[in-house]
Amino acid sequence: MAQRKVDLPQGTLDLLILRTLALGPENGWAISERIHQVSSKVLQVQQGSLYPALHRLERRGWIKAHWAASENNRRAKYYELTKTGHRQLETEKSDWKKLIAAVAQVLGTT
Amino acid sequence: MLADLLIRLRALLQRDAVEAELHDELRYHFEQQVQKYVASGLSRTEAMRRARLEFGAADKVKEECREARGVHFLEVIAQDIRYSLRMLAKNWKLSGIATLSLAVAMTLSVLGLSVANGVLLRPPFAKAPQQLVTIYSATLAAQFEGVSYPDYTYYRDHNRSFSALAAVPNDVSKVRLTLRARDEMSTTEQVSDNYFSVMGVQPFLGRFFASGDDDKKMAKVVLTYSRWQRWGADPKVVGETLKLGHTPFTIVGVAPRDFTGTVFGFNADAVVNLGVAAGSGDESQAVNDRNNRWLFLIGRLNPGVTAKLAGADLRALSTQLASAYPAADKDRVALLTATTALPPDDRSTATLISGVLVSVVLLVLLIACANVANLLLGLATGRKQEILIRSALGATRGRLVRQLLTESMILCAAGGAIGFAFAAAVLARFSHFSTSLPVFGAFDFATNLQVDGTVAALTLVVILIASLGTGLAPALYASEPNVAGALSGEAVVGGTRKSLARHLLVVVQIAVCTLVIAGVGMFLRSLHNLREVNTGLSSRRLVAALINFQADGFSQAETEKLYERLDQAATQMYGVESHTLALGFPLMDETWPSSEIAIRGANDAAHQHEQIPGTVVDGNYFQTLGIPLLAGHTFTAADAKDRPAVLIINQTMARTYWPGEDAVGKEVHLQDGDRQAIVVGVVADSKYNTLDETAHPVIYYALSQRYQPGLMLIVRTNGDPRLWKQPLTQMVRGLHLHVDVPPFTLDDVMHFTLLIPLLTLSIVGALGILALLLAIFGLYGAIFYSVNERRKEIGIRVALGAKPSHITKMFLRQAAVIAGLGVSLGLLLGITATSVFKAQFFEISTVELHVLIPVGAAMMLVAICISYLAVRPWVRVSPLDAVRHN
Repeated sequence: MAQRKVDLPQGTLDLLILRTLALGPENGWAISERIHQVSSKVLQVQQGSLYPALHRLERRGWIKAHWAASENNRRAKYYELTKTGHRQLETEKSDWKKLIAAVAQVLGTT
Repeated sequence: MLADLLIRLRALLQRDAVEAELHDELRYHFEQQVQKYVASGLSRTEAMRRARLEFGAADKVKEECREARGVHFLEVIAQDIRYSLRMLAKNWKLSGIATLSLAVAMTLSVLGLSVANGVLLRPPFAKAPQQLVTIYSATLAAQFEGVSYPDYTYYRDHNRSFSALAAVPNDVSKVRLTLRARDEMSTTEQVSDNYFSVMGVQPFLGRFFASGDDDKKMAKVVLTYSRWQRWGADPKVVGETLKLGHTPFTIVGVAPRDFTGTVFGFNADAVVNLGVAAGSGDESQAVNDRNNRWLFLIGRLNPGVTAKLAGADLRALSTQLASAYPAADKDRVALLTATTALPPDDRSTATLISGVLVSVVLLVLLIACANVANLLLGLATGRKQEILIRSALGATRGRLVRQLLTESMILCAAGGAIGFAFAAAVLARFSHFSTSLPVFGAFDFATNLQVDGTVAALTLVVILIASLGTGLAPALYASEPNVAGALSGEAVVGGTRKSLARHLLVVVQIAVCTLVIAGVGMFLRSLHNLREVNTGLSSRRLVAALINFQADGFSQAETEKLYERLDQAATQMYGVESHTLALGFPLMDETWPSSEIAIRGANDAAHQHEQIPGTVVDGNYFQTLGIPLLAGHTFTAADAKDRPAVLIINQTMARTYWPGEDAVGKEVHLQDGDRQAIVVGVVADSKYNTLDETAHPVIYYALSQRYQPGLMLIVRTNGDPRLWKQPLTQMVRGLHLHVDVPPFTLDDVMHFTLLIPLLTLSIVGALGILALLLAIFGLYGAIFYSVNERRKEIGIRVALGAKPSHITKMFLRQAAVIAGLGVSLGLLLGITATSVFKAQFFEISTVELHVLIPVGAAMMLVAICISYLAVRPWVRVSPLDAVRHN
């Protein structure tokens, strides 16, 4: 049986996508699969939020897209991080860590 | 930012490609998912079912992606624009009229605003012009006067508010400039030695004047950039000698390109300092005369000093001057105002003119907007059904209004662009031009009018207001949700109450138009009257040459010899019937100098101090110009300098001072020179300065008794006087005299006199044409609309047997009522305006039927024709089409 799925907190999807793409160019389906696996099947990204997020990130200039052949030799849209995307990932990562630390501290004191 | 824009643009321009990509991307995801489930052991059908379930509505995802890409908003606008262009093209006649209407209004508003801005608000060419103030003087009696040179030096040296105070006279002079082998009549201006440093202007070449040059009477001159360019742009010119007339000056520098002079409108060639006016004895006296208020001052405020503080400072200095020199400066205060291109005394007139201009512009703009709103309303009503179908299909009212506003926005943008371009072209034409005037010769004008940022911004605002103003009402009206009524195709019979307001608008437009056209008529009539006026000169074939003996370096004795030689030479000229030497030429629009006289033996004490304008002529003057001698005789060779002074007076003078008596032989005391003079002759009245002047006393003095350093040689020819211009020039040059200004004929002068009335006529005429155009557009739109609104009624009437001519008559009757109301209102306004502005016209009565009847008839005719054109297309349609239209 699948584990209980955890809802993604607001704004974390962008961070997850950026982090996944930091490993190299990937297509939409592979991104969702990877997030699913790496998170030990806790996080499941729905297409309904994945694709709008990808398009939004592309518009912001953090990722860029190109069409290429996939492993099974089909045409797929691949996304990769841009330079601003790398920078954005770093800031979001540190923001996230700060947030976690802060939340943990709050949780620990009560 | 850039990535954002590119993506939005790509989404907009390559919409199909982007959509296809989105589809492929989602499809790929779906298929990968299906494959995954198949690999985990599900059947293909089951795998697809689960994937689809998980995926949700693909269209919703797509829409969210579109939104994420930010295409939505732009896409809608693009859609609106595409749709609007299609609709406007379909109704090209109405859109064309609306665009033209707006273009006309926009042209006027840009022109009006640019002129008002350039004349009133724009500072002169200077660094940090907001720190500059202009100073003038005023008494209770005179609102705007200048400052005399001695007063200027007092203000300059004793104020504590200005870092420096400069002085400029508000006039230009024409002098012949000679540099190397070139010479040309040029416009020269004067400035105080510190003028350029106060203005913060840096020379293009060399230097400007040095402090103290005014008093040292240093003969230094600065060339303007345009003159320097026209004379070869030689950088080595600095330090060379330039002659102004016969006086040598040293060129110290060349002014920068943007400096066109200190007097608004004139493009100067050379600038000298104030001290040089003190060349001859007379002028030196004039400069130092405290009553000669020929200067305006420009001061640069010290840092931290406000205009108010500086004003108080100046007032204190004025009080000191008033107590020190009560004769000249009693009750006189120095006032300050912001420095602009115009001097303060002209500014009040300019403010008035610009105020009128701007209100006319606003009125025209309002009318144009109303017209366009009317036309759009006509369009919108015709499309009511289409709009309702769209709203029934789910378009929101906001979207519909936006669509309709987009249409008016496009109209306004097109009209605005055309108007702006046209106005800019007109301004460019008149920002720099030269013209030749009789007596003065060629003048270079630099009005420096241009469309600047302020005007462009204001135009943009006006366009925005116009598009909202014109678009909103029709848009709200047309998008009114009354689906059931419109779809059922209910017919409007006999018009609605809304049409009343619309018709009122047209009535007002026609009234305004009639008023302006009546104004054009009044100007035309006035001009006609002026042309027909009796000048009192029976000779028309006159040609005159201006000779300046003093500028040519001749002494008084030499000049008086030259009078005789000119006399002889003119007698020998071919085809010359008669000739004369005189101080002035009639109708030159320059006031003759008055001198004070006392009438000997007059009982009336008032006759002891009379100011009477006079001129100096020789004995041939009256015969040459054809002015009849009524009594006595003209000047003769016997009237020499050492003989008793003699005068000839005009009929009005004889009647005024010696009514019922023979004026010949009467004595007059001349204040000037404290002499007695005897009246030897009386001549008929004629026109002296202008065509519209009233009869007034005039004295003619004898040239043989009054030396003149400059004169006119006037010649009456036995053929077309223009043919004598060349021989006359050659004859004068043969005596080693210069002819700086080409000789001119009486007709030239008459034309010049009528220049201002002609100019006014052309401006009012242009306004009249614009007003007529707008009124035509307005009338066409209103009739078109009201017919359009009632087309179902027309169909029903035709179906019931009404002939097209009946229908036409019905609408024309309606149009005639509207036009008749407008025209009568306009004529009434015209009569009111004439009674107010009667002084501006020549021999025009308040109810000038010669003008009012033709204007009224013409306006009615135009109105009926336009209405017929607007009605015709509708009555031609078959009843079935009319009822089922659209």
